[in-house]
Amino acid sequence: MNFYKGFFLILVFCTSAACNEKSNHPFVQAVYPSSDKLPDNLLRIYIKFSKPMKTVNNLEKIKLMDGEGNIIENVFFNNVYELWNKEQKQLTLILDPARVKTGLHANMKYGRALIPGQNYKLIIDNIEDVNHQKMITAYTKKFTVESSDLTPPDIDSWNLGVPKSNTKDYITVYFPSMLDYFSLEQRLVVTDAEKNVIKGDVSIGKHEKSWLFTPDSFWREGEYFLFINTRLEDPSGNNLNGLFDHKIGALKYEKEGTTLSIPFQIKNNK
Amino acid sequence: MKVQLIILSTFLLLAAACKQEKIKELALNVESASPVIENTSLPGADILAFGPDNILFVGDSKNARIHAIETEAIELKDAVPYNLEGIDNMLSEKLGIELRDVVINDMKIHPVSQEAYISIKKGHSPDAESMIAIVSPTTSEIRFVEMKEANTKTVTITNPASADLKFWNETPASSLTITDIDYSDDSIFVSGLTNGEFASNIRKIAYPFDQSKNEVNSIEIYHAVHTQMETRAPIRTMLIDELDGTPTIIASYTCTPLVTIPTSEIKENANVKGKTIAELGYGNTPIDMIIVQEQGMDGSVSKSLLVTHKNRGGSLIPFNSIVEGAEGKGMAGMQAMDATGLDGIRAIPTANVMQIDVQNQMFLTMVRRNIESGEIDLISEITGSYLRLSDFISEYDFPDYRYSEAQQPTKQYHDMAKQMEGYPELTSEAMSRN
Repeated sequence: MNFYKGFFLILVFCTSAACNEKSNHPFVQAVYPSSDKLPDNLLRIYIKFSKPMKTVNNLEKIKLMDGEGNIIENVFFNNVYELWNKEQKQLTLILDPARVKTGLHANMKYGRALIPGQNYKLIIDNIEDVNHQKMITAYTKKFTVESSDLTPPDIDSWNLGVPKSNTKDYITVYFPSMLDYFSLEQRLVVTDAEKNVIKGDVSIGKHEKSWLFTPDSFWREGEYFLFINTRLEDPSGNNLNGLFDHKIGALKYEKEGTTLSIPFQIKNNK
Repeated sequence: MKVQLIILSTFLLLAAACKQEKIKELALNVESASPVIENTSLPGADILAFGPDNILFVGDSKNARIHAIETEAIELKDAVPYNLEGIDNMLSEKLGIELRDVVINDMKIHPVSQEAYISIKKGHSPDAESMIAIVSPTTSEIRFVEMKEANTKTVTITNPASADLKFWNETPASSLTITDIDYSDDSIFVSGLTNGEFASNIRKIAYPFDQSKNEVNSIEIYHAVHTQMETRAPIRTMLIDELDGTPTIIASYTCTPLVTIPTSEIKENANVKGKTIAELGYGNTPIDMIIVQEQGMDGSVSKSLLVTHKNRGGSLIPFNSIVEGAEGKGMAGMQAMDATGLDGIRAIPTANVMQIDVQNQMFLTMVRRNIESGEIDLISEITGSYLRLSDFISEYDFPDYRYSEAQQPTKQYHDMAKQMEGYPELTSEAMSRN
């Protein structure tokens, strides 16, 4: 009996430890925008993977399928250098701007890839990690397309949920419609009255419709600011300066990257 | 007892399999621990461009930096073509890594030595070592760019200045993928795509780099398109040339139009409007842009812009048309579906060409995927022919084929191409035929 037990243990050890690297396959953790309702002028999609991935020849492994099961061709902008983040765990897909933008040949000839009222599936499969291990389970994101998002983000429509002093509770900024996940991660900061940046953790709320910031140290009573870079975009590429596709001279500010601020008061916890 | 034997043999097989994996791993570790050549590693060697005085600019997307490396070069005056099939195999052998771990990023030809500089990555991981291989057309030998403190200067691409607040650290928060670098008039121009915003920055960096100042100008480009609309659109590839005496950036955007911008308009915080002079057709992903000087049979030289694309043939555009386009109002108002905005654009067979550069007056050199063998080749083509004769089998190749009197120029071209492509034994003379 001990003979079997011994071999069994060795077998388990061998297969699970030394050889198990082979079964540790990469998978898709999330796709943004996370909502299942997306505008027909959607410009950008992010795919987050569990492991660092190879950064070449991946676009052919990502398919967009309409409600009838047809693969839609020429949807994504096939850049020579794929847009991966530094850790090679996040891929940015751009829906071919030539089809998204009005007035260009591709837009006039083929129209946009996404049609309002239709259902779609984004299927991600067979992408390999840096050690040549393939995804073994395809990831499918189902969504319905709605009409164009032609409202640029506007800070006047935002609401703030402000915590009390002497706490490390998070402050929440609520948006009336979804914003770009990655843009949200980097285009908002909280400062004190002297414009010193407050350190802390940022998280993004459901469907990218809120931004949560938890400070490392306690809030003090008094004035703070939320600073916003006008480059902050929604998933259709509209930013605080105006629409992605706009008439000449229709931008709000002369320069991209202007900084706006919203003051807020932290009140006493009593 | 039978069961015991089965278990024992299964275990032995598994143990052997595990051991084999281990040995393989160990072997790879040993190899990667002792690099073939010292001081050749460079973090993030992505995009290459040559400047004056043998300077090689290397764009490092991951670390948002540009290196300027002084190269050593011996002038080569002869036109010696490249006929290296399986350059990826050669690199894998030279570096002691698996073929699938050879990642080729970019290729440029040294303007003095005519050597091919190829930026490569050893493996796919985020911290994989990268380096620049140099391949000589005369010896076909591979060596590597040596990195020394004395011959290398580096500049960091900083964030576009924020009006009154420093949001982030020095390097951009969203990662910038450098898509092209070009040198002109004591500056390098760097274009890129970010993964966060659809921004359209082009950075002008003074060279020699001033480490104390280290100022990076950043501008926004708006490009007007049909129906008087404009959008931010990042440059994919570009080059700088004089249009009627004015140094001008000729750029291809992510959304296909071809645009011109005089370099004098690139100033800090300027809002620059590019002029759309052509659309190169839908589905294009431009890879490279080069200036091609074709020599005609009568000795005349015609200058063209060649734009290669990832998924279709290249676009060859007469340079005169570009000058005219840049002088005009630009494309405005919707035109016919197949209109392109410029006269005389020709489609050129450049399928599977991953990288292309001008080697000398006679040859264009390219890194090309051979779809039959799957290998990557480093090869040259005669400028103006836009093909390699050895890619095709035609009636000319039959031993009993005879060129007519009128076909003598064709025969001359075939003989030249055969010699150049490494088949001197197949020329008419060698085969004793007319």
